[in-house]
Amino acid sequence: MATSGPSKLEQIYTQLRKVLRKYYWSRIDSDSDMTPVKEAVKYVEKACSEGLNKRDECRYAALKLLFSVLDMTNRRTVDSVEEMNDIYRAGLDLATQVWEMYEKVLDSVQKSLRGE
Amino acid sequence: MRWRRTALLIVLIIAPILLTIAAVTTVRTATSQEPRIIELIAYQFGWDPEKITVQVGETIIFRVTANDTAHGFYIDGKDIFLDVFPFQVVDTEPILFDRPGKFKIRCSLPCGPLHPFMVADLIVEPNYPFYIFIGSTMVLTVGSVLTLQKNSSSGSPMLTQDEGIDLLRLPIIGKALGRFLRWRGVYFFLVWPSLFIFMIVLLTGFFGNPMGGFNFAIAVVWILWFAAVEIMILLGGRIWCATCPLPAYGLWLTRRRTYSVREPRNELSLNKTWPKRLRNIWIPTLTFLGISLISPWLVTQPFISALLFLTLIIIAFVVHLVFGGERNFCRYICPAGAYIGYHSTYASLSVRSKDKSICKKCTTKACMRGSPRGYGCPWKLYPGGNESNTNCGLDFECLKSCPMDNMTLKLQKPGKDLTAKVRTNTSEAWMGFVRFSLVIFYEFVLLGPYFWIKDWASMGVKFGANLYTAHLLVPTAEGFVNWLKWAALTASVPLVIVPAIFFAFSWAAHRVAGGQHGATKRTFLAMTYTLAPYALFLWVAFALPLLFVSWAYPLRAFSDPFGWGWNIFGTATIPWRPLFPDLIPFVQAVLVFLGLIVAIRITHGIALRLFKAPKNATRATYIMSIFHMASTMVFIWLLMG
Repeated sequence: MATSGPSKLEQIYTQLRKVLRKYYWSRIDSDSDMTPVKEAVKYVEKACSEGLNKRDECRYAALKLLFSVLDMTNRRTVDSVEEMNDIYRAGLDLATQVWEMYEKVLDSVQKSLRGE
Repeated sequence: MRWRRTALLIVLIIAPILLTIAAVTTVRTATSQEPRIIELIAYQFGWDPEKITVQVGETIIFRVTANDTAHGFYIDGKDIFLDVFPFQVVDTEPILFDRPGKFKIRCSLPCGPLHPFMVADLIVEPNYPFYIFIGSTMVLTVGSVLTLQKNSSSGSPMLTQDEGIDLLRLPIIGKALGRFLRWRGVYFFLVWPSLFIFMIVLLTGFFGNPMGGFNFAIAVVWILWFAAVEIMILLGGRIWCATCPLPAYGLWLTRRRTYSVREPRNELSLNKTWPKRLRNIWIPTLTFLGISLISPWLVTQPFISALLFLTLIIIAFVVHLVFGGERNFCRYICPAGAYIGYHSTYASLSVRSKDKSICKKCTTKACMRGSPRGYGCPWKLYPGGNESNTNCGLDFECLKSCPMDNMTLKLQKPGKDLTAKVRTNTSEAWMGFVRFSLVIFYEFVLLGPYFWIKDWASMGVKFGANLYTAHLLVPTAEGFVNWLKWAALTASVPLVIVPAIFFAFSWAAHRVAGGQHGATKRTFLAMTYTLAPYALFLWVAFALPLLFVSWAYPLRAFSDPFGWGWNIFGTATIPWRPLFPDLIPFVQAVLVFLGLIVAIRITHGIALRLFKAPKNATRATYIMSIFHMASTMVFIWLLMG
C-alpha cells in the first residue's frame, strides 16, 4: 500500500528549518527566532497586495530572507556560495508558497464579499 | 621583451619633439634688415588673409584694420595684445619670427558668438616641425606594426589578458573606497554637485548674458565640461555617467526614493518594455550628428545650449515614467552617454566580478535583480558575467547588492574589452565613424582659419543670420542654401564617405589575411572598434586647446555666471591669456601619436581574433594601419601644416 509523502508545504518547512538551523540558529544560539522569515513573509504580503510581479518579488523576498539572516548574524556577506544558494532556494520556495496562499485567501474573500 | 617594445615606442614618440627642438634652435637665419608690413583685416569672425606665410628670421609689422566691430590681435607665442577699433588702422611693433612652425593669430577681444573660433594661420617657413611630425607618423606606424609582428610570432600577447588591479584591495584606500561605493548614498552624493551646476547652467542659459564668453552655460559646459569628459573617458570610462544629472529627476521619481531601496518595489511608471528594435545606439548616434549640424549655435548661444539640456532632461524624465527605473535614456537615447560608452571600451576603470566561478554558481543573481541593499543593475546588464565597459554606467549597485561581495572596481589593461572578443555591432560602428569624422571636421571648421565654412555652418554674417543678432535673424535664401551644403557635408562624411573608405581598407585587409569568403562585413564591423581609442585620443587632442586657450572664461563665469557684472569669487576680471600656446600643437601631436599606436595595437589584437594565424593578422594590420597613418597625417596637417 502506497503511503502519501509529506505535502509540498511540509517539504518547504522542513527544508527551511534545516537551512535556518544550519546557517542561522546555530550562529545566534537560538532555535526559535523567526525574524528573517517574518520579514520575507511580510514582504510577500505587501508585494502581493500591491499587485506586483510574482516571480520577481518572490525572488526579492528570498533575498530579503538571506540579507535578514546576514543582518541578524552581524555579517555583511555570506560565507560560501552553498550557504547563499541554500538560504535563497529555501526562501524562494517559502515566498512562492506564501504568495499563492495569500492570493487564494484574497480570492476567496473577494468571492465571499461578492456573495458568489 | 615588452619593456623594449615600450621603450622603442616612447623613443619614436619623443624623437620628433627632439628633432623639432633641434631644427628650431639650429635653423635661425639672419634677421632681415627692413621689417615687412602685412596688412590684416579683422572681421566677424575671421581674418583676411586667412593664412599668412613668412620666412624664418623675418621681422613683420602687422597693419591691422577692423571693418565691423572692435577686435583684438594676438599671436600664439608672442606676448602681443592689440585692440583694434572699427575702421582704425593699428600697426604692431616689429615682430621677429625666429622659430619655424605654425602659429595661430587670434582675436583677443570678445567680438561676438564665434569669437573663440576667429583665427588665422601664420606659417613660419620652412615649417620643419610639420615635416618632422609627418615623417614621424610614417616611422611610428611602421615601427608599431613591426614590434607587434615580432611579438605575435612569439605567442600572441594581445590575447593574453591579465586580471588587472583590484582597487578595493589596495592598502589603505581600498577599504575606504569599497565602503564609499557600497554606501547607498553614493549616487545621490555624486549627482548633487553636478545637479546644482546643471541648474545654474539652465538659469544662466535662459536668463544670462547672450554673449557665450560671458555666460556660465557656455563657458563651463563647452570649455570645462566638454574637455573634462573626454579626459575622464580616457582615465575612467563612464565615470561621468555616475555623476550625470540628466536622468536624476526621472530616476528618483520613478523609484520614489533618492537613495534607499523602496519596498515594495513598485515604481511610479507605466513599466513598459523598451522596444527590441531600439536596443542599439542608432538614436544617440544620429542625435549626436544632428546636434553637430547646429554646433556653431550650440557652443556659442547660451539659450540654445540651455534649450538642448532642458529637452534632454524632459526626455529622460518621460522615458523613466514610461519605461521604469532602468537607465533606458542613458543607454539608448543620450548622445553623450552613447559616445562615452563607445569609447569606454578602451578605458581601464571597470566594474567586474572578482571570481567568475562564484557568479556562475550563484542562483540569486542579486546583481541583476536587486536586493534589499541595492537595485538590480539599472543598465540591464548581468554584472556577474559582464566583460565590457560599454554599457556599465558605474552605478555601483551591483557592489551593494551582491551577497558575496564578489563585485569590485578594477583597473584593467586599457583596451582589454576591445580585444577580448570580436565585436560587430553596426550602430556602434557608425558611432565610431561619427566621432572619428567629426573631430577631424571640427578641427578643420572651428579651429581652422577658413571663414567660409564657419559662415556656411552658422548661416553666416554674410547671409543675414549673423549669430551676433540671432534674435533678429532672417537668413537669406543663399545663407540657408549654404547651411544645407554644410549639413549635407557634415552628415555625408561620417555616414557614407568615411565608412566607404574604411570598408575598402577592411576589404583589402580581409583579402590579404585570407579571411573567409562572405565574412568581409564581420571584418569591417570588427575593425571599426579600432576607432574607439583612436578617435578618443583625437578628441582629447581637440579639447586640449579649449582648456589651454580659453581657461579664463570658465574661471570668470564662476564669479559672474549670468554675465551681469558680478564678481563673487574675485575671478571675474581675470585677463584672457592662453597658456603655453606655442606648445599646444606639440602636445596635441603627441596625443594623436598615442592614438595611432593604440589604434594599431588594437587592430592587431582584433586581427588575431579574426584571422587566428599571427602572419595573417599582421598582414591585415599593415593594411588597416595605412588608414590610421593617413588619418594621423591629416590631423597633423590640420595642427601644424
